[in-house]
Amino acid sequence: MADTLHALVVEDSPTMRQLIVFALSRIKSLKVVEADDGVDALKKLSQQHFDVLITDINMPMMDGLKLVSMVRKDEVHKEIPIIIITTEGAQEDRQRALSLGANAYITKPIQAPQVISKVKELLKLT
Amino acid sequence: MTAKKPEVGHEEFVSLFEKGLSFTKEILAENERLRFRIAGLEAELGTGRRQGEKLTGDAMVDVLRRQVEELEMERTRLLSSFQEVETMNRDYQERYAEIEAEHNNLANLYIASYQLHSTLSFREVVQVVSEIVINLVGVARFALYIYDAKSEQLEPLACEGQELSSLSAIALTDPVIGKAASTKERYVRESGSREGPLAVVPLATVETLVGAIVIDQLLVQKSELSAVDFELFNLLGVHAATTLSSALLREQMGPNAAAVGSIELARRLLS
Repeated sequence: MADTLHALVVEDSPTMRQLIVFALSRIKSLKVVEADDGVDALKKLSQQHFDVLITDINMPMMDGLKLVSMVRKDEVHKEIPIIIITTEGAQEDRQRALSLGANAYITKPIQAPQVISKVKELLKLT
Repeated sequence: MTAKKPEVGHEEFVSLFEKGLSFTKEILAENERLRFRIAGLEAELGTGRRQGEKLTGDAMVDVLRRQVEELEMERTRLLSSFQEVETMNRDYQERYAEIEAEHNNLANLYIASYQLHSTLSFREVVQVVSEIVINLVGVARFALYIYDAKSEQLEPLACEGQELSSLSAIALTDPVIGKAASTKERYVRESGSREGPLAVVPLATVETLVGAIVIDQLLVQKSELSAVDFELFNLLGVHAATTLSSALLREQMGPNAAAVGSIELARRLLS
């Protein structure tokens, strides 16, 4: 495994995005790249390698469900661990994302320890 | 001719003699110690044998009981040390959790403050205020009201978890929301009560009332407001008020307001 890992955070809300990035900054070996929506995420995925993808579901342009579906169909990124961000009530979206190939989910309101532990778990970091 | 005995040789002899004396004393002391040890062991052995023969194992039982007692004492001592270490570990863990929580709370406050001041677009400021309330506090249903000085009422402007059209203006004479806004004092419903809003956060500067955030319901996974929520309310109360006012003024003046003549105005205001 490379020394530096890369995470892509896909979230249209700047507040939420900053919250997630702030939490992930606690993982020293992780570099974070931000994307505003699914389209921006696919563009960034085509430009560099990422070790984990964290995405919101409700976004303009391309939502998180579509993004998960497209990433799983892509030969290069189909194995990338994906974490989706959902609200407690949105169980249908969560189930749909998991069935499309997302590996885990975190619920709003986002708690930094929750984000850190899920990412570390998927990246097999101790 | 009698040869004179060299002084150094004499000293060497005395030194050698003293060393020999000291060595002999040490040997005698060691010999004494060993004799006592042998005598002790022989006594123990003799006692063991005698008692073993006469008391048919009672002495052995005593010896074993003493050993058990000693081991019990040792075990108690180790357990006590273990418990001390465990307590210390627990204290460290609790302290770590407290620091971790404090860190997260500060991060939330920093992000809220940063986002509130990151834009002067009125639409975006309202969006940021809503995001802070929804995502950082964890609110399912709330409304943002802006104070209209003409009608002296709080007018609904944005909301979550309800239709904006279902909300009406609130007079400052209203006993809960109006009172909180006019006195600029936060209202929080008493625990156990289900009547009225959960919390009212007045948005105000020292000089002016700008509006109020009325919170009706938290997200299902959140049972009550926490200490950091009240810190966020404090932050929103002042920072959202100034940012909303600034953004509204800027929108009234036009998008180039900040660039047109602003330096002259800034200098004039400071002179």
